[in-house]
This record gives sequence, C-alpha cells and structure tokens, in this order.
Amino acid sequence: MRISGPNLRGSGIEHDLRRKHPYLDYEQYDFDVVIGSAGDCYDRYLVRIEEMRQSVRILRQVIDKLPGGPINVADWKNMAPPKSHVMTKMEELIHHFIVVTEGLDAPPGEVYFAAENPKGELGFYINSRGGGVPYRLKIRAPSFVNLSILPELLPGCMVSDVPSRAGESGLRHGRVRQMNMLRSIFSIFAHHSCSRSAFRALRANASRKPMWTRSNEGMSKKQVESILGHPTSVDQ
Amino acid sequence: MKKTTYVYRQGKDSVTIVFKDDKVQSKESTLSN
Repeated sequence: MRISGPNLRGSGIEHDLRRKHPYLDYEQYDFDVVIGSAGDCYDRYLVRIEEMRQSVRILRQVIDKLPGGPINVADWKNMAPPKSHVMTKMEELIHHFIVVTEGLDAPPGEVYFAAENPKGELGFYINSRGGGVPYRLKIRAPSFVNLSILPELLPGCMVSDVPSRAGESGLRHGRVRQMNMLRSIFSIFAHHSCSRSAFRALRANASRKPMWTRSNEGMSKKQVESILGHPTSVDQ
Repeated sequence: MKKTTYVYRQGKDSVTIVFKDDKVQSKESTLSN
C-alpha cells in the first residue's frame, strides 16, 4: 500500500528513512526506531508519542554538537543577503531581488529526494532543464498515500469511529484536496453493505425525510435499488 | 404475474417493498415517516 511513517511502524515494520537512507547526518545521532505490535489505532498513537520523545533526544544531541558562527554561506548570488545589507547596499539589494524572483540556477537533470516526516515519507521529484524553476515537479505527500489504508480501516466500523481512525491515519485536508478526501470516506461507506444502511439513515436524518419513503408506486427494482441499495433479503 | 418482495432490515426495524411485474405495488415499514 506504500504507506509509511507511524502508520507503517505502528504495525511492527521497522522502516525509517533516517535509518535506511540517512541524510542530514542522521547516522551520527542515537535514536530508536519505534514500532508497534498490535497495529491498531491506539498502537499508532503510542508510536507517535514515543517518536516525540525520540525527537527530543535527537534535538539534545544536535544542540550539543552545534558549532558557533554564521548559519548561511556568504555567497550572495545564491543566498539572500542579510536584511541590514539589503537596506543599505545597492549591489546586495540587486542580489536579493535576483535570488527571490529568479531563484537558484539549478543544473539540468532529475532527482528524487525523500525525508522522514511526522506523517511518513515526504518526497520531491524534480526534473530540471536549468534555471530557477523546475521543468516538472511531483510531490509525494504522505497524507495522500496514507489514504490508501482507509478501505482496510473503515469497513465495518461505527460512524463514531471514523474521526479517530481517519484522523489518526495522518490525513491532512490540504494535501488530499479537501472534498476528495471526504468523498473517498463516504464512498467507502456507501459501497460497503454493512455500513450502507447506517449511511442511508444518516442522509435521511439530514434531509428530515426517510429514504424509504422516496420509493414510490410504479418505480422499477433498479430505481428502488438506486435509492435504498441492495435489499437484505429477496422473496420471490 | 410475478411478485417479488424486497426486505431491508436494520436492527429491529425493517422496510418491505412488494414488486408486481418489476413495479412497486406496495410498501410498508416499521420506521416512522
């Protein structure tokens, strides 16, 4: 399913990009890759809590190793100059303008880089033909990929479980384009026979008119099924 | 003439729809309107 992050580790799979493919000197720091055992909602919660403790552990090590001196390189053709220079020196004002409006002059080529984020693997595929903007850009947002576990998590659960299960799987509206996510959740309900009646009942309450009253005399079986779904039983 | 009865159940409640020749002939339910 390509899920990653705490959702994957909550099910007992020890996969963490900071360990598997270290970047930003993560190999220099001691931390535990937290995994769950039951793979349920509570387990994923426990994994997240422990991961926060591990993050604090990493931060303490980083602070101990942090050297003194400036943070940015003094290459003002590729890095925005300090604000005090921009406000007082014409040349650095021009550098600032070029860096902000045109961006860095990236070499032609393509690259995919992924980093471990709180919700999983956040990756960027960039195809460059040179210049300050990519020719193609694809973002692998973990929230969107994590949607793929909902068909496994939601069927058969109570409607009241949806916020905790869907929210706990690490979804974020901005990344899954808001209404698409809601549509997905409700279509999972609508297509699952056990949840169909609960879903129809919800819709009926919302409109203050029970769905079954909408099946009128003279309607065909197909029309009735389009309103109420497949019947629980059929007597010939 | 072919008669078919569709029954929808949800807990103790049920909706029964009777079709005659693929057309709804009657319907009744234990649910309130």
